[in-house]
Amino acid sequence: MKPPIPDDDSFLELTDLSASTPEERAAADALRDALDWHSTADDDAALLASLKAAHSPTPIDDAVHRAIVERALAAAAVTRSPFEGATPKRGMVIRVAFGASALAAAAAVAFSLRAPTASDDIEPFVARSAQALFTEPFTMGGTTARVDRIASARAAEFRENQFARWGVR
Amino acid sequence: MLALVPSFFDPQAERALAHAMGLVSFMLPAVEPDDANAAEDERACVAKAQAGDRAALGALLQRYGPVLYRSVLLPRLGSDMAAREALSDTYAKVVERIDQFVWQSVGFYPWLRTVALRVALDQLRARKRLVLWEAEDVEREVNESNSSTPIDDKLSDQRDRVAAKAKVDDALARIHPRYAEAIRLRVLEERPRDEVAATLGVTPATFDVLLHRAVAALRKAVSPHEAGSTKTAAAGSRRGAAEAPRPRSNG
Repeated sequence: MKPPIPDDDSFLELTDLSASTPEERAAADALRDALDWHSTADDDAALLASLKAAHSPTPIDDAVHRAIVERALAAAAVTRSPFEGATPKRGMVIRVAFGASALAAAAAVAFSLRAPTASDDIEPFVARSAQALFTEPFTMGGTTARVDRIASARAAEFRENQFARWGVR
Repeated sequence: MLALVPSFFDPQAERALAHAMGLVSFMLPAVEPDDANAAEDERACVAKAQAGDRAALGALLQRYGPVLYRSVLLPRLGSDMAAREALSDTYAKVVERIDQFVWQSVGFYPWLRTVALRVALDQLRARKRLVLWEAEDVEREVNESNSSTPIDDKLSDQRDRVAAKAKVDDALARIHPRYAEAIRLRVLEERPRDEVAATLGVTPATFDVLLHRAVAALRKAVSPHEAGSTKTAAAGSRRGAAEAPRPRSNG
């Protein structure tokens, strides 16, 4: 939980840590970790990131943008027929959506009714430990920072997977 | 052109009209042939996109997307992930509504920018996290966009970026200069933590707390109504601050 924002200006000057509260130091540590990990899981880090984004916005990666355009055009191909003029055909959308849904339902039924095969002996998914993310001993009161670090690392991995799936990394 | 003037005009009126038209054409900036050709090319491209030509639609999105992302969406939404999502949503709306676009002399970009602003507005309303732009700011821009977006996308890009930097400067001007410097050096200039701490004359650990307080001050300045909700809790912290040794002024 973030320490409350004091109402007067007495907290403005800060020259050493003795003038800060333990809650402030914990929140400061969380912010430092979030900045180091380029994470916006922390609310303060997100606000700073928005400041940076407004001050010096970075351009979008060409490959990422191409992928976004292609997804939009693919959706356009589903909803609009180039041979039927400019008016989108809602009936086409409904027919395609219904057909896709029916196909997916049929596939699900077929999958559930198939005879067991050797490939059903699938290795159970191994949950990953987050221990590798921490090199220092755990201390009291640092739960939020540890959770933020895990969330940040997993978010970064998820992004990498997305980029890999889009073929841009 | 005068052949189109109705014949019931008397010759004197015709001469006056011709003189006026000559004056008006002299006052208007001459349309460069390249600009005129570019506008016509874009108009043709939009017409093709409206007719279902995916390549034409792709060309439009490919051309204006980077500008939308960098100047319109990213500054207002505050993160690249949110901006990419908004760009994707913008394109979905363009695909859905391009039929509703009516070509005017201002071109395609102002309409596209307005669509993007509306998407950004929806996102800001839906999210709970504080960023530099508030939903009300973007709503005002949406209302103004139809009449004030420059025709040229480069001009619009420049104007949006200047406005974004001005918003940052305004926010930092509302907090203590020491805090503003901490944020400017560490976040905007991305200097290393140790270097910034040394510049400000504190230890790195103290700088962490200083930066945290700077953000708290910024949050209060940017969104006073959010800061106001912590007033009851602040009473406890004032008691705590009174008990803690007061720091010496950093002359």
